[in-house]
Amino acid sequence: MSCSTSTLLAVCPRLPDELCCMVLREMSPSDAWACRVVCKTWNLYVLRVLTRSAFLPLVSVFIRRAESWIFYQPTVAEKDDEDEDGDEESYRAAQCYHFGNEFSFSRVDGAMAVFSPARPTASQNRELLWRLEDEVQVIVQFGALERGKSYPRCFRHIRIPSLSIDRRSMELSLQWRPLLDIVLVMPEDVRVERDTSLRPSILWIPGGDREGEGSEGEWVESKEDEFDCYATDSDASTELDW
Amino acid sequence: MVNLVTSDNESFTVEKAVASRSVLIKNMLEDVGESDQPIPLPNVTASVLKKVLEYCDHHKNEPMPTSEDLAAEDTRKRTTDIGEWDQKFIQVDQEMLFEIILAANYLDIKPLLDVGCKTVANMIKGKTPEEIRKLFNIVNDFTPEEEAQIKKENEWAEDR
Repeated sequence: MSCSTSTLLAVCPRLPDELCCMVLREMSPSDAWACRVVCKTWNLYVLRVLTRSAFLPLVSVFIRRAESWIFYQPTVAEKDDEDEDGDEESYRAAQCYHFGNEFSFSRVDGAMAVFSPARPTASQNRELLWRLEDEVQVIVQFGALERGKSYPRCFRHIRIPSLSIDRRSMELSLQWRPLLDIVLVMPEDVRVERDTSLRPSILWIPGGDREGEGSEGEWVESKEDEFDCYATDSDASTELDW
Repeated sequence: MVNLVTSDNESFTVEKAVASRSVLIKNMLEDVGESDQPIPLPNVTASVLKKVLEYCDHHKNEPMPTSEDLAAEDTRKRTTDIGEWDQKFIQVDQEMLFEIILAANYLDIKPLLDVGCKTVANMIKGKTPEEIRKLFNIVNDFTPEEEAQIKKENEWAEDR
């Protein structure tokens, strides 16, 4: 979107449109998202420009089997409490979850954001199709830029709006605006609490046509102890993580 | 040396290395070649140019941002950190801050523009929408229903 000069000048008389937009671009995604309420022009700029150019490219979606154990690693702050001399950068790098079955942002199609397999090999797609026959855990990773440091944050146990899979193109679709309402608004303590739980509380049952275009899947609550969650070496691998 | 003339007709004589931090001035100097002709800056007042030149003088020995640097910013590999000297430099009132941003934009001094915009972004952080509107003299043009809807979206609900 090119910001309307007339509208931006009207609300921000001292700064021309491109400069107001630059200010919003300098803010963290969460702060910029919250600033949508300031005026219509800021709202539109965030929704039409920053969302596509800056926010959604930071989003990845991971599909994991329902019973997969999630390895919890302590946060940097927790680690620092234990070891003041720790190498923060290398520790931060080790924090990254190396899940397979990653879908990375591809494009916006109206209200929907489309994600494609990050490693679209035939064998990966076959395994993924097999996996999607059952209920699965869905994890959203957001490579947020906060306080000048970029690191991914994982969001688990969230009901991703209108999530669907097109089994022919192997593309995931979801409503991007409510998704960002979750990942950019969720308080950090809530995120960490959900991220560190051992068992999935919400599972996604991929719906629809097994042969072609997907219809919206269904979200179900996981019953306590329904899954005997287990971990294998492959769960932590960068190559295999079923 | 380069002679710069402001909108309020004040002259500043500065080193070429200092003036050339501005891509606009650098290009003008390249266009006119070796010349004693003063360079008019009709969009910048003396008080603002003085401040801008202070910035340029401090950073005159640093490499100019490359096209790769600018491309990296597009992928949002940017930082909200501002250097210590720059932080002190930019501690000015809001009017001067906006004037510096406008001048940096006009003179095409990208690092100074970044510092200014980051400072404004930091000013906004933690403020309520009403405080932001007041700070920037922005009119709330949402209907009460529209505003309530966005506020609701910005509030966390446990069932999400």
